[in-house]
Amino acid sequence: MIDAGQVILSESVSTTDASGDELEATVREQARLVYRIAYSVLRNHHDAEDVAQETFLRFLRQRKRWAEIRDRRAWLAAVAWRVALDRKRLPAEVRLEETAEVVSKLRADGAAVDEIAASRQMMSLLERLVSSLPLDLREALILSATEELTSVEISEVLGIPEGSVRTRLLRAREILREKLAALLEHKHAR
Amino acid sequence: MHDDEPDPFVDELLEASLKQYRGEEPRSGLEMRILAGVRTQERATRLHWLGWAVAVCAGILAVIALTLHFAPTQLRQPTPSASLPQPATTQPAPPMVSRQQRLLSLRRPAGGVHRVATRRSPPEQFPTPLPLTEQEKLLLAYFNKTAKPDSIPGTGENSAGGLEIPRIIVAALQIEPLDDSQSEQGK
Repeated sequence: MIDAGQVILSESVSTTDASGDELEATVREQARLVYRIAYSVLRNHHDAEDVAQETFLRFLRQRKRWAEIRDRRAWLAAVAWRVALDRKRLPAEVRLEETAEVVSKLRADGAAVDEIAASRQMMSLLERLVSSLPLDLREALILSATEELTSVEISEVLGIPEGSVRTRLLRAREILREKLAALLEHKHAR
Repeated sequence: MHDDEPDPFVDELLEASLKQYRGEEPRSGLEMRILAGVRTQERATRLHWLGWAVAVCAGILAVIALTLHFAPTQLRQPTPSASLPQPATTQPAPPMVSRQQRLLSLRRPAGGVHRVATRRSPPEQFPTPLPLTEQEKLLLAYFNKTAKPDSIPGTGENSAGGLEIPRIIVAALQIEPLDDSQSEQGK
């Protein structure tokens, strides 16, 4: 026997079949982008998946406005970016001196650049350096580091001109290079 | 090392680190997990709203049922009504009428009382009858003393001093019998 509640629920689900198919197609196309943006902010798989899910849930709830969304990819990127920033916690404290010392030791031992870059210490060091950047530079660098968005799309997410995005990226890399060089030279000179 | 000669190792390390910074590939089945999570949450939200809607409808129905249940009872409840003071004369007790009707009858001349009484009276419950005020009582007593009961023209009561209406004399009608010969000629 089917009660009234089940009938209402089945009808409401059946009316959303069309939007469900479109949602599924959008998830298959853009899930990776959304996940990467979330991960670039949160640096955690679980949190990034939660943010991706939240982003597509918001997308589904806006189903009546889907036709108005001009660039669905940029829209999803912007939502994922905002949701991830809302969830972002302060990065764990990393002792810059200690991590730089480990990286210098790896270099002295003759490790390849890719090997050093993949090391946990180097990742911690880079995260710490990135988090120390000014906010506007950090945002542009993080979105750029996902390698999923073009500078035009980054400009749409951040709401700034494309030229500003390029300028901020150059400046961010410059600061990172200076700080990394200072840390490694200091240890290398010892 | 001089500042104007950048260390190529730092540049290479930074580039390689930034490539690593993008993170590992998402675990397989990301899309399915996202879709399952989104659908579960959406269903939960829908059920949440459905529950609220049912609760609100039940509340509205309960209010309507209670209103319908108690409304007739209130109508049946007796309302305080004021009885008119008994006049000193031997007039029959006036029927229970509303305050509005009583005031109307008080303001009208004696000849109009009869017409008011024959009108269809409004419902007794509206407006709610209230006891007469002192002034109304005095006014009623005055009318009872001064006004005379309605007189119906042509009755014995009127002959004492009422309005004289001349008698109308109507001549007796005379209908002649039909003539059979005339009726046959008409055929």
